[in-house]
Amino acid sequence: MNTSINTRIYILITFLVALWCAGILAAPVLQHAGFTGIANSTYSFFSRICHQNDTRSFHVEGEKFGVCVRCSAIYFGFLTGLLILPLLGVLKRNRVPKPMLMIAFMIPMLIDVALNDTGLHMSTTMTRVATGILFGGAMPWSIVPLLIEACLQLIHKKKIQSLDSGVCTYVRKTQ
Amino acid sequence: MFEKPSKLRPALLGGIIVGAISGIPGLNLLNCCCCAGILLGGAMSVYFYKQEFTNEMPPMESSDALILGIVAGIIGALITTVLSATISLLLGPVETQMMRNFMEKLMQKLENRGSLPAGTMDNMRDQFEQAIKEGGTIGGILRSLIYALILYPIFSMLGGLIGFGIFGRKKPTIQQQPPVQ
Repeated sequence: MNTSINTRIYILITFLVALWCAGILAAPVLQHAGFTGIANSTYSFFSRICHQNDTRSFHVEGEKFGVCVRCSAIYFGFLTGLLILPLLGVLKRNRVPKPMLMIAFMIPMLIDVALNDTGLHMSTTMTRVATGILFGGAMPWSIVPLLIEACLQLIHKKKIQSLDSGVCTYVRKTQ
Repeated sequence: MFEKPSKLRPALLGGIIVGAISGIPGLNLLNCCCCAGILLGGAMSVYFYKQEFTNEMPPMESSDALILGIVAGIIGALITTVLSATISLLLGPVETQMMRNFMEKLMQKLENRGSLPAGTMDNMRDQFEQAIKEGGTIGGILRSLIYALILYPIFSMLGGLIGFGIFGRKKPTIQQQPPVQ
């Protein structure tokens, strides 16, 4: 694998994930600062993927985050996992970990949700954060190497296509 | 040399799954769980694509799963918006009231059981009212479409990559040829 391209793709992914997490934090900050229009749009954007329940959300200056506690834990866990990836040497290895690992890390969260919804055990902020971070933190390990591999394949295909078209133009010119 | 199968049909099927889960009221609650409906649609598009491979074809690559997921997400976003708009236009005041009653009963049941915190009912009621109000206006539909076109391809792409990890790496099953007599 080309390490420099790998690193560039990794930096781009990290930037986009950081932007996503910044959006979650931006909603309450903007709301508190009085930019209600942008804040409402940000809340509306994240409402498509989260119930945004006030009692199940972290707050900044009395305003709730863009997503609930569990979702926040997943996304910030994902960002943390992403930042740890180079330290584990995952990016340099050619081997892509199996997604079963990610599914295994999802089980505690599913148990927490299932126990809460059946009324057997009330999930707390602590259980939501712990299980969310566990799942979110493990996800990049399986997803990011696959994503980098896919991007590399697309870049190589584009290079080959442009090379092919270049050869075709050369052949046409020489004929 | 055999070529890979077309991605259109599996992407369309995956998009229909995303659209149906996200657009039908009640079923769309599945997306509150890590966008499970959208992830499922992306993963299923990869599964359908994998089914079309034969032994003679080159193996499926992760870039195929990436493209499939993104396309399924875009199709899903379009279907969801059309479906949601149609439902809110078709829902007259009587049907809206029926749906409101049903939602309130369901929420009340969950709240009584203790699995919903206090205030959730009001929160859900507000969201439901806002969805009905927004769903009827062109501005609301356009805003929903823009948000869906950003969000769905991202999550569907992740679903596609997960699907590739589960189904994509397996070698296609070798079909036993009947002995030539």
